[in-house]
Amino acid sequence: MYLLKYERIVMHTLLKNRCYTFLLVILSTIFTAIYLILLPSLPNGTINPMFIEFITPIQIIFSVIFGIMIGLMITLNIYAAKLKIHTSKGGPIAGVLIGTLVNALCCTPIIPSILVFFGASTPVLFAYSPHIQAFFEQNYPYFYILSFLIFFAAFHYTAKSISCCKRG
Amino acid sequence: MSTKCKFCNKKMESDSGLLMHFNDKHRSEKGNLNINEIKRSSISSRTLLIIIIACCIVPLILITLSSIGILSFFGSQTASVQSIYGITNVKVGELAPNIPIKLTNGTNITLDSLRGRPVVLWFITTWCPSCQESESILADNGYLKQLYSKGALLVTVELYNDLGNNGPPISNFASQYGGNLVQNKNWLLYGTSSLNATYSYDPKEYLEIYYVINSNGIITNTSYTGLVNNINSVLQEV
Repeated sequence: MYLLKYERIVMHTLLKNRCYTFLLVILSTIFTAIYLILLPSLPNGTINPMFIEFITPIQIIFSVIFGIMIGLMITLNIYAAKLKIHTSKGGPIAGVLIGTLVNALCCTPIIPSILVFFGASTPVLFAYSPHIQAFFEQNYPYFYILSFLIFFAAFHYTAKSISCCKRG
Repeated sequence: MSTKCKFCNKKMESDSGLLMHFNDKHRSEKGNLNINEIKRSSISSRTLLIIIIACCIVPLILITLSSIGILSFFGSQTASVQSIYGITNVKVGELAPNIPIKLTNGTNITLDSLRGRPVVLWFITTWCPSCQESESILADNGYLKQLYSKGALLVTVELYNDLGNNGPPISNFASQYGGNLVQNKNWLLYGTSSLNATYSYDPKEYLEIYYVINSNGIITNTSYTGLVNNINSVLQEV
């Protein structure tokens, strides 16, 4: 069975080591907690734990997924660095940016400021920025899925890099 | 800076490595060449990183300068359209332009009729999550009562046509997110605004923007970064 072959090899190796398992659990917990605060806060343009009461079930699920994925990516990169294996950092960074920015783009003044700069805000054109913001507001789960896929691709390539040199 | 082989794109760390690679792989087919004919410079990862950062930072600086009014490429166009529609610019320190507000109970009032008390004029879109959350927090955490104790009026106004996106009516917004606290309070007014009022007070189409207006009708403060984020300064202001 070749499904998730590299991932299984790396996870097996990683979880055999108690130190890496501990690191993975700690990092995943910390990042899950950060995401639980970050995702409901960002639409308000601030990071404040008081907004956690407005978290949606989708945001709870993806906070846990993102927390685990980031914890895993950091642990894997530490492991790879120890083995002197080069890994790409672009994937996890892109995943973090997409997963978090989509909430900020919905309701903060980022989109209006950008569009005003390009002259797209006039009383005649009723209005670009609210439609774009509404798009992000309504479709944020799809961006979370995209973010997860990027995380998973980064995980796959990191696992492939490590497992090729670690086999045996 | 690393170099690449011109013939097979293989990356090499040094000229000597490249020369060895050329002798090994391509000499029989290409003959004798000098090192500059063999190598092709490639952009180092550091240069690439600097280019990417520059590409991100330059637009950000331009956008920031534009949003704080230092740089404006398109200001004249906006100004001319505003003059056609008879829209007034709203500025801190000046008299708040009078606008009609249609309240949820069906009556029509004007902003000028509220003079004599400090007014927090809060323009919102009812579909925007941050506006909904702000309304809940203002009601639940006693901020509305603090405004009342200072003798201020909070006038929550739905931007014209919810800025083109369908949201719940402002009356539903008030009851759903403000709860029982906001029912039948004469110091909490909810209403809708006209097109001209919307573009006078929110020309950049922010989803929420508030103005603090003193008892003489002068605007003392405004922000588009969320009423709940700035509520403490608003409470001090009124």
